[in-house]
Amino acid sequence: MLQRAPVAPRGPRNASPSVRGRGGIQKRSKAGGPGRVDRDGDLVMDATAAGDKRRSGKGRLEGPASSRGAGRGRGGPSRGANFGAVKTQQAIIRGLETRQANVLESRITTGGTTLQIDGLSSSKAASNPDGGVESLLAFLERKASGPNRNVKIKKSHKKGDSVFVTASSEDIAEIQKLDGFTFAGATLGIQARDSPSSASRPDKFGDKRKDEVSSNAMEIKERLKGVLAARYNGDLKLLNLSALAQDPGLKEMGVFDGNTTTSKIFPALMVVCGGLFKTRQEKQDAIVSVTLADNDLADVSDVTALAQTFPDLQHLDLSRNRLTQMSNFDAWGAKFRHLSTLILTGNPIETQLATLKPDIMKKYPYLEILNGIQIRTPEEVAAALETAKSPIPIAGPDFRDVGQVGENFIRQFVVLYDTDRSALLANFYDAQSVHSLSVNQNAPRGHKNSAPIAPWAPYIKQSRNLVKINNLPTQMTRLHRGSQAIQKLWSALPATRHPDIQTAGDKYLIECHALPGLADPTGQSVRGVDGLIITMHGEFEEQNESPGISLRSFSRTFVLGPGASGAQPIRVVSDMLTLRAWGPLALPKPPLNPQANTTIITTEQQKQEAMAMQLVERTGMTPQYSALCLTETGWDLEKAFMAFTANKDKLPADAFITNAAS
Amino acid sequence: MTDISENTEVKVAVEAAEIFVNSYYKTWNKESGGKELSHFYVKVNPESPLKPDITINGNIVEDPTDLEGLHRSQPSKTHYEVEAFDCQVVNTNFTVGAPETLLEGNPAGKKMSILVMVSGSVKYADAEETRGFVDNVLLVPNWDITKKNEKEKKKWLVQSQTFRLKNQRSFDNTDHMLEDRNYARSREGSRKKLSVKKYGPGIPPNSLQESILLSKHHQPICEVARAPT
Repeated sequence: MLQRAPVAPRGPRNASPSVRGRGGIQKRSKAGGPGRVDRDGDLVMDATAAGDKRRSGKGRLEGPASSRGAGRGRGGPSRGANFGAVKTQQAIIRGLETRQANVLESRITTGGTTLQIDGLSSSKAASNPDGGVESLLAFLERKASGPNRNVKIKKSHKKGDSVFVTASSEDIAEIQKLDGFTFAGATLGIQARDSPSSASRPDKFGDKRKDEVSSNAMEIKERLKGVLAARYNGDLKLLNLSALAQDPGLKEMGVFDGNTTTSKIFPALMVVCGGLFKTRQEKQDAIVSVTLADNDLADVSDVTALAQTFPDLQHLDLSRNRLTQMSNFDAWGAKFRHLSTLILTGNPIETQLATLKPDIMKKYPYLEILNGIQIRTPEEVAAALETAKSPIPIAGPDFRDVGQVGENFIRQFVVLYDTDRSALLANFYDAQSVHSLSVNQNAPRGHKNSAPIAPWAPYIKQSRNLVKINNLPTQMTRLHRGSQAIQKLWSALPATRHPDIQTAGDKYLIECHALPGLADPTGQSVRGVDGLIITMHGEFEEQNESPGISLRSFSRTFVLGPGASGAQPIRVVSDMLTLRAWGPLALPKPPLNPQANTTIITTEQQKQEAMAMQLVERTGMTPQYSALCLTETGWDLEKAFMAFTANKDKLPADAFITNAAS
Repeated sequence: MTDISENTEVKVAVEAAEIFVNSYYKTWNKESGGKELSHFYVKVNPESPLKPDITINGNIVEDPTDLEGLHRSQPSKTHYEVEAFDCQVVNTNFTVGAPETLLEGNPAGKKMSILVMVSGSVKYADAEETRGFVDNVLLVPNWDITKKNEKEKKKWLVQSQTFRLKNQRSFDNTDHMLEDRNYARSREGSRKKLSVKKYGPGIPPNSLQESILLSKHHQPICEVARAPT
């Protein structure tokens, strides 16, 4: 028998009842808070397993690259070697041979374990007509139940000052955690009563019954393990559950006597089987295919448990059953979404349902093969998976800058906002610039991202989230117009540190394009002037009083326009900031650096043309003169504009567009 | 420049933004909303200097009517939800594409351009996780409004839009299934030594295996099953 230390089965075969429930099924560690349940409701069985899960990338806050790379290691030599067929086969055999009494026992037997609860007599509830038992039981059930678990006390009786309760071993484990809780003014003492090591054994009869149940369950479990072992093919990673009613092992057990059908033994088989794996990944690695052929199934409700135990199944054979219509699959709901092969040959549904193929395709969006016929190509499946992720594909930043105005602004903004907000205001903001901020406290944060959020207090009083702020005076006071007003606000906001845009470009996603119709600060152009709208998504560290929780995500939109003559060349027309709890950015793969020159302007010529047009707009010069001016200033729009401003009186009349807006 | 009281400016802008956020995302949520989406935008008209400029997740959408296709590609139960929005007036007298008769400022604030920034979430039915989005739109006056049709037509139209899905879905089933399948494929070549199939007691090779034999795509099984024959 294989007994490897790290994965050794817990608990000896004849584990004492008190140890039961602490094995594979235990949901919560004593110290830990709420039970860890992964996204499909699968329980994370123990610390090691939880570690595995986390390493596999679920819910880690690290960037996408590292979370992918780390745990799964698909294709990588380490995982390939460790988790190859040999290992999984060993795992299943090891499991089959050695353990899982606990799980099975609690499901297929009526017994449970018993707890002795003391303290009721000194509680206020003791004066109730029933001595407070009912309210105590209700209290225990309520407190022991979690969001994913309803704890049920099966039996109870009062003996002396103690109350004895019986429940399934999982429930008992939960109830036991209430030891020391206060109930109606009294501290409860809760201890297991049926442990062999326990000194006092007040309930002889119960103990005896326990032992019987235990040995009964052990026997059933052993037999089921034998059945499963014979039906598992490690090379094919196939669990063959076909023709269960003809199984000699099961027959011998008498489970099909009388009217008993698959529906009774199947859940037990699934429980035994599911219990063999510590993680969903292990299970997924070991069992890829299941056949349920020849089971006389008229509906999958008899085998509902398959979906819970093997949600990641890839190949499923339901040949030669009695399935007639799509509703026969309802018991599986939306499970098996990732089924790749499905076989329904030899079921009435094949002939009775004309729309079988489209219906099945709809139900199983990534199914490739139905009844041996390819219905989707792997490429189609890959595309479907991609679409499901994001119906609107995520592309790199659309950064259509004009003469690097946007890029230069952002580079300066990011540095100055952290280091010198006054300088930032002086460089880019004027009396007409408008700023406001809004806080989105409800923003989704990404899978399992439950890191604490720094308090919103510094921002909330200035938040102009119009979902919440409905009265006009507040809407007006939280709109800050002019650099002075903005300065006043910014000096009250926490200090920040934005990631370096040069070295940590992947922390940002910045897009921009030209925006027409800004007010001309010179008042010359009736139709207004062109500007730029920039949207920046990113994060910053904040100086606050909550050490360790300093990251926030933000999005900030700027409208930039040409400045009034004599003032800054570029002015901020609008600056809108929205804040939310930190979450990773959705970057395209591979992440594109918005600063890469290639993404900014496709060709040099386009860039120059765009710049020339900008200068035309701003100066009223002809395109030729604008281009000339830009050539002389090394294609720097700002320098060109300054050169123009300095020399405009000396320019000939034909340098200007004749009927320039005036 | 015509003076608009700050009061009017804020009031009109907030109203315009509210109407927009309350109707626009509902249209995305609506199964039959695809065709209506383009009604929110300025029309593509080569004659007019006013052109829509739409970027969705970095993809440039040339014509608002193309959004119908994007809408169609969404799973049927897609749900967008606005969690926060803010707005600012960019220009109190926006005149791009305005008829000559409408160049003068409007003291009632009917000619402003209004920047709206929306922060919300979206749940695509297929994806199990809710994702954040940020959407920026510039609303400009709808010059097509005449007294006759004022009631049916939208007063404000989107000229510029930059939409972005925010947080990464860090790791979910869809992702890892794709990867696992690829993983399986990539391992194809590495499994050379194969053992003979074993079946449960009295169970013949079944059609699942036969079917897998037909398939080229699920290598671990395919390889193994093919070897003995």
